[in-house]
Amino acid sequence: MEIAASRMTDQAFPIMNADILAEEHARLHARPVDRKTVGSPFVKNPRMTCRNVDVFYGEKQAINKVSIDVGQNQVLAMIGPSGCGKSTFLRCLNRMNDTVSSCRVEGKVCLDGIDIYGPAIDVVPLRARVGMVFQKPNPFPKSIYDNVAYGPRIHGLTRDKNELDEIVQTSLVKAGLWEEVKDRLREPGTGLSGGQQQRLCIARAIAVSPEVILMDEPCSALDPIATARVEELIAELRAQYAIVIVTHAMQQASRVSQRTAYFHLGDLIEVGPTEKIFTNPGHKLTEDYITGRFG
Amino acid sequence: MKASHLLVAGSLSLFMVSPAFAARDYISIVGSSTVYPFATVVAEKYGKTSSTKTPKIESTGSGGGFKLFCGGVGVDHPDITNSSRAIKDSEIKTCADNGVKEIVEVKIGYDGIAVANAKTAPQFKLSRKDLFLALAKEVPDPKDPAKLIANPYKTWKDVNPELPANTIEVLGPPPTSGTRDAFVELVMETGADTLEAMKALKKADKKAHTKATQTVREDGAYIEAGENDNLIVQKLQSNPNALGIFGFSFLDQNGDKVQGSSIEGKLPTYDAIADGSYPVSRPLFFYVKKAHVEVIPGMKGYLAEFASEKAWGKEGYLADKGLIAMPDAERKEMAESVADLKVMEGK
Amino acid sequence: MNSPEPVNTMTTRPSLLEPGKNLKKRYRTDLWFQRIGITAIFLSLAFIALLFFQIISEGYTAFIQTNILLEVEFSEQAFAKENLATADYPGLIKKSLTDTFPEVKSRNGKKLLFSLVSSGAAYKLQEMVEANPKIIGTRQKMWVAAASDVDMLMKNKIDRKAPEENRRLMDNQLAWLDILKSQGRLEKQFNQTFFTTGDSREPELAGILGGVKGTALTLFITLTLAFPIGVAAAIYLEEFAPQNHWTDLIEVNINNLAAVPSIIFGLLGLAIFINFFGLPRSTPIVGGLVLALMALPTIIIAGRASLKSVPPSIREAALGIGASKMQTITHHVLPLAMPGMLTGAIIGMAHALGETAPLLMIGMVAFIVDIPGAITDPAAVLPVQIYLWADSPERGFTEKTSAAIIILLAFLMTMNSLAIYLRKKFEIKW
Repeated sequence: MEIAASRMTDQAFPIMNADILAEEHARLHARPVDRKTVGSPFVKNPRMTCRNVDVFYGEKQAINKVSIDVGQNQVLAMIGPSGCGKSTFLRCLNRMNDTVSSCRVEGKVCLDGIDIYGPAIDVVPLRARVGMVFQKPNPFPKSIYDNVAYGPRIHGLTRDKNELDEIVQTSLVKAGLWEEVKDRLREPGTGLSGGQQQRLCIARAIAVSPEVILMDEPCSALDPIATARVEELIAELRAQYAIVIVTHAMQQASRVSQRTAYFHLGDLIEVGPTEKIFTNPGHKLTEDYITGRFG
Repeated sequence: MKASHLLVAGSLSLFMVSPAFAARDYISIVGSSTVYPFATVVAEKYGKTSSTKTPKIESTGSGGGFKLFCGGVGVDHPDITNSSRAIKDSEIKTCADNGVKEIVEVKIGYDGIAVANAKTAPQFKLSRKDLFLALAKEVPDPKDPAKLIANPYKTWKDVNPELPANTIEVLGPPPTSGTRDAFVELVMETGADTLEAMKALKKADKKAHTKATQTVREDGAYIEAGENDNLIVQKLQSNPNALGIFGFSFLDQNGDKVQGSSIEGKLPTYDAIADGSYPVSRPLFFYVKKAHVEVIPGMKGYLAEFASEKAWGKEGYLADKGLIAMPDAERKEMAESVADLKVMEGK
Repeated sequence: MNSPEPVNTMTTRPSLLEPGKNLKKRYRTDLWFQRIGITAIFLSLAFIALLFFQIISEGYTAFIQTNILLEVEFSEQAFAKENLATADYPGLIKKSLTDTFPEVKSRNGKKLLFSLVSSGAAYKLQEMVEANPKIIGTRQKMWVAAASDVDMLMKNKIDRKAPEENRRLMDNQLAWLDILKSQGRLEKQFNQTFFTTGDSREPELAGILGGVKGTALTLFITLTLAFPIGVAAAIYLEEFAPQNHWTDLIEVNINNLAAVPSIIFGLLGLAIFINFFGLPRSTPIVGGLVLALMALPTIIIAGRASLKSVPPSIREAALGIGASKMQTITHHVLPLAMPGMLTGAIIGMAHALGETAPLLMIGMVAFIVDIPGAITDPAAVLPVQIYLWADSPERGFTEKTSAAIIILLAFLMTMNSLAIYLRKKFEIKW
């Protein structure tokens, strides 16, 4: 990590002399002394609230006292350089980190006021309410219909086939895929194009009526046209859901999100309205990152 | 979790489907691989002509057979064991310790061991002394008979000037085989006794004598060819210089490919073995657990079939398979003892 | 570097038209490697071809059988008694033969004549009469099996020119056979017996069905035990077991078990299943249990490998939607891992199929005539049948041995094709 970052620095400042380089390096890689996040992490009507969240992998601390709210009908974009912990943090929100045995989460993460790490909490209904879309499209090797119907089936959301058909249709309509696949619902989901697969995964996530949708770099494996379709879709979905998206593309963050959070080495450096972050960042690190001085 | 529990439970329940197999409706026979070809023929004939099931016969070797046989009384243990030698005292004792007290001994006939070579080569005229000198690991030094030296003989001519100058090359059974045991006992030991030096050794140091007479050379002149006698027959055909050691039944079946060598002037023929003039022959037996005769269906029938003239008689079907029948009087006596289930006297 | 024109400072730049020495050497190495590989493949194919040629050329004759056409009179007198089983069936055969060759009068001559027909012919008559008692009182023409020696003669495996005393067939027997042959009453026909009967000590009556059925029953037990247990163990170790020294120890030992000599499993089976649980010797249930123990490590290792090969994205997808761990495994991971698991299971089974050593210990190397009908009946399996026939003195068993090997190979090929078929059928692309 250190080496990788320093190499990146080399490329960013090819004409710097060694002294300046070392100084710059030290500045970028020192933990900010003042850990207080710039900007207000809180919103008026939060769907999820995170307070002082620490995440450890074994001995190593990956997330450091992060507090942030996820607002209803909002897209919260999380940006930051590789390894900054944004994906780790995202995965805390529906406890996907549980599958990693060495991972430990401290602090409070609440969904509608209930601590999801509480002792009485079952992850199965939690994941139904906080859905997730992954970096690489990962439809099940089943038919399009079964992909979407899988969630409702295991959660017992429908009483008969007609209801299930309806859920599948509405989910696919919401995901903007219905018109393209309505005649071939029985064909394998893996036969679709990359962008269609990712929208199928979104349809699969919304079929169980979640309240929050987490997206982990959903467009990184897609071409620009497919990316544009998914971004449009995110904008439409905002009307009904709270959305958290992790992205590498700052342009994408500025296009789809209302709020943006900047992570750096496990710290939440700055959070605020997207417009403000991209036009008038409050922290030097944020500014360096969005102006492309390192990344 | 449920599915995995079901899988495990299902598999376990399969293990449990083993109620006590109280009854056994077929005869279980174990024992010698030499007697096996004869016992199986009787079993098959009996199974086809009676309403009971065909007996099951395992070829475990004589020693292995006694071990199983003497394991105890009950359906878990075999009813009959075949043997190419008489039961040993130690085995009788093991049997008795495990509750097998009444054993019926049945002698079924004789088997000869042939030393044969390919038909394409000249027939050998051997003596047991020649065989001992050719095959023992250590033989008395021709210059100083009191001393044992590593076998120096390379060709048959070295052993006996009357024999051809072929390299000594003998294919024979491995030490696990009953045929090997019999060969050592009947040929090597008697062959050694013809030598003055060995006789002297017998008196002086019994242990050294036993070792010298029972150890076969390991320098390539004796080739262990495995238990499969058919293989020896095949190898003899491809190598006319080699001799092979195997049971008479294999010689009988392959008379067009191999020829038996004469030993002490006697050829291994049916008649010579039957009248005892061919020196390398041994009796074959089977032993019956009397306690099982009334319990296991078909036991009496099987015994009667085996002890019938059409089976073990001179013209019987076992003779066709190479078994050498006992003399008439002995056969008659044995048949009576089978009919009465005469229990062996403790030795 | 600032000069606008490219300056050719690199004198050693490789020419495109004349490749240098170094390049030629590299290509030569490639070529050599290819040649060695092709030679290796060619050699192994040649050996397999030789093996197959050897076995098939030796064994195909076992599928045909010399039969003799007899005209048998089922006279009323012969069946005077109530019980059909006690009738003198060999007598009927003998009468038919003496009717054909009335000139044979001497006792010895008759014996030689009768020995031309297999002893199984009498059993055939018995079966016929028991199946249809109406044939009593009629004359029937029927093909019966010739004795093995006659069969060997017809297949040119006995030398007619050898001196009489060294031949299993006498001169007058040859003469009778020539007469029968000229009358069209001696023919080589398809050997049905071989596929419909169990073992026998008479080569012409010996069949493979007992071995095939014993093998099928044994493998059935092996599969029903080893597959579920192996899959469950693989799933537990791969998906649930905590990573600690105990699981490491278990993993190492499973790998060790896969390399344990098979006879050890036989000893284990003898000690546990027969001596401790009291299961009957020589039966498919014990054989199946022992072979299941043998196949388990292979199945577990293959199972774990195929579970590992399922992409983590599929697990994440299922978990992310709220599937429980078990649902994730049974709905998504297992179906994707199944082709690999099935392949592993069938390879393990095929391996077990060829084993005789462990079966020796549990008494399955036995002469068993009756065809097993249940898992607790005594049974032989194919490799054991091959072993027993290879060891029989009668000449006729040589071809039977090769034929049994052909059947075993066919069994193995069927299992492997099944594996390929199942893999293709269940294989899911993602």
